[in-house]
Order: sequence, then structure tokens, then C-alpha cells
Amino acid sequence: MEKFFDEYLNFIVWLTPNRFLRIFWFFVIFELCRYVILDFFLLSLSRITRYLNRHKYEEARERFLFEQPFVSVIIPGKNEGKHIFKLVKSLQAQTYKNFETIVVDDGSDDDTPIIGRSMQRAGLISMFLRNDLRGGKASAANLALRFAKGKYIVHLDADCSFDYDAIEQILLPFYMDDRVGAVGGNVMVRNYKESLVTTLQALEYYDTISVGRVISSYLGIYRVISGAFGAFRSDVMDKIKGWDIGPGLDGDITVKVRKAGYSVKFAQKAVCLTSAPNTFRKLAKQRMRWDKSLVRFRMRKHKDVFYPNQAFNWSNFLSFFENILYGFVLNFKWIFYLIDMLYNHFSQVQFIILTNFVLYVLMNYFKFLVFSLFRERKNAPISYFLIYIPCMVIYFGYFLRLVRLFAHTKELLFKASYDDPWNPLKTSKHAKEMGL
Amino acid sequence: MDSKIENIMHQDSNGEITYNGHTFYILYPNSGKSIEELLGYTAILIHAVHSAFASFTIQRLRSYKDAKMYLKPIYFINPSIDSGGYINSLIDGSIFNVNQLNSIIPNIEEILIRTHQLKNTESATYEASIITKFLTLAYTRGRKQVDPIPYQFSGINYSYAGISCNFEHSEEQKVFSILDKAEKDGLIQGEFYDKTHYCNKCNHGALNYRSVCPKCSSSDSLTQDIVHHFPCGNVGPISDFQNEFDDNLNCPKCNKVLRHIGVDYDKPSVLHICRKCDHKFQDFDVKAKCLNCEFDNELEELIEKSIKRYTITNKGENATVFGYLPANREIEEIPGTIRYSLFSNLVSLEIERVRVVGSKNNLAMIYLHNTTELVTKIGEDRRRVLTKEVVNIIKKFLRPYDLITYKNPSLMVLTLYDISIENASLLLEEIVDLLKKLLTDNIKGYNVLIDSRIQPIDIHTTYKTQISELTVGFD
Ligand SMILES: [Zn+2]
Ligand SMILES: [Zn+2]
Ligand SMILES: [Zn+2]
Repeated sequence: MEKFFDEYLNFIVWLTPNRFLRIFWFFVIFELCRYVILDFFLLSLSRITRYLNRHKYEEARERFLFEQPFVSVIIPGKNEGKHIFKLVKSLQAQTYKNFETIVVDDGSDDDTPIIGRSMQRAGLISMFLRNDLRGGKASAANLALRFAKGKYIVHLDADCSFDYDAIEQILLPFYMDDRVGAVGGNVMVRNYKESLVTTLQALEYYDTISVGRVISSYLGIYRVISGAFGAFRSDVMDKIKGWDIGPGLDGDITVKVRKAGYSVKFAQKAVCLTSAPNTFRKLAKQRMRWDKSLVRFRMRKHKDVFYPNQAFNWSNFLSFFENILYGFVLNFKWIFYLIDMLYNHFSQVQFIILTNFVLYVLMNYFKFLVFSLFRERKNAPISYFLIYIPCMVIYFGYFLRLVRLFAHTKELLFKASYDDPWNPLKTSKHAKEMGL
Repeated sequence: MDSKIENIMHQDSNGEITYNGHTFYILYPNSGKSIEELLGYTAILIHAVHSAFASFTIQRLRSYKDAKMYLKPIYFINPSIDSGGYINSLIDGSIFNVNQLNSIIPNIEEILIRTHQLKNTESATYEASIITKFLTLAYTRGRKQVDPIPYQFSGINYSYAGISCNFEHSEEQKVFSILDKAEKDGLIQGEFYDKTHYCNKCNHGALNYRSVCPKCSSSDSLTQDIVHHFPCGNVGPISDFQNEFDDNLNCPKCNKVLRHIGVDYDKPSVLHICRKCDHKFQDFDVKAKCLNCEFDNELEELIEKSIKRYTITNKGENATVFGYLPANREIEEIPGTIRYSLFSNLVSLEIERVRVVGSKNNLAMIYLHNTTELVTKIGEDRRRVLTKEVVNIIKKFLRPYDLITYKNPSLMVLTLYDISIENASLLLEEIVDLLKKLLTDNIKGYNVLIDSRIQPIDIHTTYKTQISELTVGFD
């Protein structure tokens, strides 16, 4: 043990800045520069812009409150009956009141139809629609959309709950900019205390998801409106004709809105709490689905974004490029890094791993603390998370990466997402045939 | 054969027929006869060409208070249509013309024999009188079981022979309480037959069930299939997919033609669109509109009732033959009166006592006619209140040690001790006048008819002889 420390100390002393860069190039370029320095810079910039535009925000809010647009809250899902009552109660507490609620039961095999019907009878929801034959999430959302009367459509997951002003906050971006076609809400993990895996996800949502979306929204390359909480302009939805079949329909609909020429914003203050998967197994399954859809939608269905003359526009291009670079190419690149290290620095590999670990931990602490300044709404005390931050290195660096690698390979080689039982077979068969 | 019948059958122009020692009366519409005038005939033949007249008349005759009428053999003659199960259960049969009289004679005689077996058809209370009617009618017709019969003109959907005809639609729910009482007393045994529902507002059973819009309760709606096009995930009512030119379904989202149900599209549900308020819904409300008062009942608010079929028990048969006396609780409970048995004992003792000393004691009775009518008019509860009041008034005329009892709800017996028979008679007259006034004032349209008698107590005769002398014709 002592011997190891002596050698490790020697290794540290041996590290000159040049050697540091040579060995930790991956960390420096792809982590430090991209996720710390660039993000910090962009976060600050977005905050400054927001400050400069604060009167615009107030004006937008006044216009919104004056207009009181009618909003359709749609809640498609299967076997979600048990959540609906709580959800409706949380909606009734909203500051904004002028909305209808449309619940679509996509072939549930539990008590959802009974619950839905009795709630409709009691006037707690405006419309309860049930399809006896399951058609998949997209069809359920489309059915709700078909009968929605609102000027805006707010799409929710039934197992979420909302800040009292969430609906108001998610609608404001439409009033700040006419070109906004869709707005994503800020999803946080409600059950962060449930298990290690939910705590880690809460951290992840704080960090990459929330902060990442503030930045991508600022840059105009915000990609995925979470299915848990998103708002859409009805006329835009009419133009793009609703949701196409998933999985990954959240990302897909966002791309469709962008391609139709509208911008997509992230509303940091529109907070929604969701229940995250509580085991690594369930989480892996969820992420596999998300990651496969990157390949399926960015690289297959919407590949025209990369071709000039077709649906080209710079922000779409950048959004896709960034997504594919970081989500896909670099995911394979860390394998090159691994090979580089094993091949060129094999004798020092144990120190490199340790140092990398330390670097990542430090970076995560730094990011967590500094970026906390940019979060106005926290659903848990910062101190709660501090001891879990070292675990993030393993969670991010190994777990999520492996899942992603596995998912991408599977999708690229086997188009596995079409076999996902998440969709009924009758629909995925058609999607596969048409290469959607 | 015709000549034979003519020999013994005599028919006069009024509709009276004498045949085989029996008298018949053919009742035509507008015959102008009152029911009392019909009491003397052996049997009634209702001319049933007009079925409405026929069913109205049979119900009137069977609901008459006097057993002489309600137990009478009654037939339809020349019926134009079958009047249905319930009306048929009230008649004893039908014939097409008087030449067929012969065929019903055995049946008539059977009914007469059975009617003759009944020792007592008087009843102490209104309820008891209806139960008696129900039991005796079944008994004289040799029926051990009484079934509820669906009847479109019934306010409770089912009718029971002998009971239902005694009530107006609005009061028909009383049929249940009467049958319940008879069952409680062990006279009949009920068995589940069916379930039925009544309007929450008026208790009527004629209800129109229909599917309505859950929002505005209109029953005018349009139903459409929902179509799901698999390749593009488009979902909407089938009208979204239809066109004016051909029968093809075209997807408005992806412009494809829908080819084959189950392969590239399906119909996962249906949607109803209200034509009145445009509400779109998948589940109708079912409501029951009352055809009597037009109230639109939610199904949950309907009054649900089990309809039973009844078998007459041995106890019930006994009560039919020997008379049905309901437990006299309500009589005993009247303050100021004593039980009849106690009354008998005390008066007997008094007769013994004064045999030595001698006295001027009197025994009186007051009989109130048609108490059943009284109960129908004011109800059992008010009648009890009224009875209490009557007792209080009478007590004011009596000495503190005089005794009052009810032998049955119509018959009151009392003592007037230590007073000459002349004065006692005057006193009784005064009491009766006051009672008449009280009842006339309190009950509108009620024909008060009171009989009273008084006689001095004879110390040489038994109480038993004296009381039966006193109440003869009224007990
Ligand atoms: Zn309606
Ligand atoms: Zn289509
Ligand atoms: Zn009614």
C-alpha cells in the first residue's frame, strides 16, 4: 500500500502540464472545457441576457395574464389511473385556472377506466377517453390532441406533480417570442431519497438535464422536450399533425417543431416533479430506450437535417451535430482514449485511472456548487447530495456510458427499438417498414 | 240442447238471469245499477266487449268493502280481447254467451261452498281487512299461492289479486307494507320473484330507461368509431378519414389510404357526440324518466324493491277460515282504556259485589261504522290520535271508576256505574252527539255513522250473556 502511494506520488510529480495534457486529454477537452468552462460561460451569458430582458419578461407575463388563453392539459397513458386523482388535485392548485384536462387511457388493464370515468362524472377532469385496444403513447396523445380545444397544449405524465405556478411558467415563453412553438418544463426527481439510483438521477437532472437545457435553450439547440412536462402551440401541432410513433417521441416532436420553423425553449421555472426509476435495472431499461432513439431519430428519421436544401437550418444542424457528437461519437471516443492509455501508458494505467477519478470528483463538486448559483428552485438541500457526488463519477463515467454504448450498437446493427414492447407490435411493424 | 236450457233459464230485459237455482246479472256499461243492488245475485257477468269497462268494473267490484261482493263469482261475458294476466286473475272465467252458463256452474258452486266455510270476514283494522280480502279470495278460489302479475297500469309494476285493486296508483306502495305485515304475522310466506324500481320522487314504477349525454341528459346523440392509423399514429373519429367521393378511408395526416382493418389501422373505441350540447363522451349515462311525474332519475336514486310470490301458510289458512285478528296492540295502548279481558273480569266482579248491596249500574256500547274508510281517509297514525281524543272526551262524562274498553277498533264498550238508566241513556246520547261532531269536523267527506246501545246491568244474569245481548249485530 505504502509502495503504491510512493509510486503514485512520483507519478504526480512527474506530471508536467504538457504530460498532464497528453495523458488527460480526454478529461481536459471533452469534460473540463465542454462541461465546465463552456457551460459556466454560457450559463452566465444566459443569466445576463435574462437580466437585460427582465422587462420583456414582465411584459410577456402581463400580456399572458390579460389574454388568459384557454389551455388543454392532455394526459395520455396506460395504467395510470392510480396517479390521476393526485395529479388533478395538483392541477387544481395551479395559479393558472383557464384550462381543460383530457385524460386518455391507452388500453389499461387495471382500474384506470373506472377511476377516469368517475372523475369525469365528478367534473374533476373535462374529458376521459379510453381506447380498449392499446395503440401506443403517440396515438393516445394524438387522440387527446384531436379533441383539445385550447390555444396551447400542455402534455403531462400522470405520475408527475407540479409547482403551483408551473403551467403559467411553461406558457410564458410563448409570450416572449412569437417564434416559440414549444416549451419544455424543468423536470426534477421527486423520489431522490428512495435509493442510491434515484439520488444519482436527481443529481443528474440538476446538472446535465436542467443546466444543460438552460444552455441549449439559450443557444437555440434545445433538443428534447420531456414527455413529463411540455407545452405546444395548438396551431403548430396542427401543422406537424401531432406525435409520430415512438419510442423517443419526445425528441421527435421537438425536432418536428424545429423543422416546421419554430424555436423551442426551456422554462427553468416551470418545475415538475417526477418519479425516477428506483433500480439500476429499470434505469438501464429507460436509458436504453432514450439512447436508441438518438440513433433512430437523429441519424435515421431526421437525417435530412444534415442535407443542405432539404430541411436545413443552422440551429437544427448545430443541435443535431452537438447531440450526435457528444451523445454518439464521443461515446465511442472514450474507447479510443482507453486504447491510447493502454497502448502508450500501460505501466501507469492504475495511476491514470485514480487521477481521472479524482479529477472527475473534483469537477463534479465544483460544478455542483457553482451551478447551484444558477438554480432558483431546489427540491432538496444541497448538503444532502454532497456525499453522493463521488458516486457520480461511476454513474456517469461507467454506468451511463456503458448503457449508451450498448444501446447505440444494438440500434445501429439491429434496429432494436422497433421491437420495444413499449409500443404495440401492430404500430412498430409499420414504423420499421417505413424506416421511421 | 237449446230448448232444454230455455226451459230452465229465465232471462228478463234488465239483464237478470235465473238459471239452475242461481241468479245472475249481466252488467253492461251504463247499466245504472249500484254495487249494493248487485249484492243479492249469485254471480255477476260483466259484459266485456269494451275491455276498459270490463277491467275497470272487475277492479271496482273486487275492491268493494263487503265480502259479499268481493268474494262473489264474477265472469266476463263475450270478451273482445284478452285483458291480460292481472285482470284474468280477478275474474273467475269467461264465457262467450249465456248459453255457456252451464259450463261455469260447477265452478260457481265450488266458490260458494268455500265461501260458506268462512266463519268470519270482518276485520278489526283496515290493514287486516285488506289481508282478509287477499286471503279469502285466494281461499275461495282454491289458490294456495299468490303470484305478482306484471300489470302495465299498476303504479308498482306488479299487481296481486285481492290487494292491488284496493289502492289508487299514488297509494299502491301500501301493498308492500300490508304484505309485509301478513308475512310477519306468519299468514303468508314470501319468496323472491323479481326486482323492480320506482321513481324517487313519486314512487311510480313506469320508467323510461335511456342512454343520455352525461352533461345535458339529452338522449339525442351521434356515435362514431375512433380510427387509429398505425403507420403515422394518427387518431380521430372516422369522419376525419372519410371523403365525399368514395368509401375509402384516407388518413388526413399522412394522406395514405387505409387498407385493411387490423393490419394498418383499427378502431380502438367509439365516441358519442351529443347533438344538443356537442359534448363528446364515451360512456352514456343511463337515466330513468318517470312516466308519471317526468322526473329524470339517476339510476342510483331509484327506489329498489324486491317483489315476492306468496304462499299461504297453515296459520294463514286458519286465519282465513276463522277470521284474522291482528295483534291488538294499538287497542291496548290507548290510555284511559283497559284490555277487554280485564274489563270482562272487572265487570263480572262488580256484578258479584252489587248482588248483595244492589246498585244502579249500566253497560253501554258505541259502534263506529266503516272504520276502514276512516283509516283510508286519515291513515292509521291519525286514527290512533283521534281515538285517544275520543277516549278523553268520553272520560269527562264518566265517573272516575268507570271502565272503558275496545272490543275491536270499531266497537267500544263502557260502564256507567251508579246512575239511573234514564240518566245514563241521556248521557250516552250526549256522548254520541259529541263524537259525531268531532269526527265530522276533523275528517272531510267522511260519513259518520255511529250506533249505540245501553242497558242496565242485571245482577241475576252473567256478564257473558249481558255483553252478547248488548253487542248483538255489532260484534
Ligand atoms: Zn349533451
Ligand atoms: Zn396516417
Ligand atoms: Zn315520478
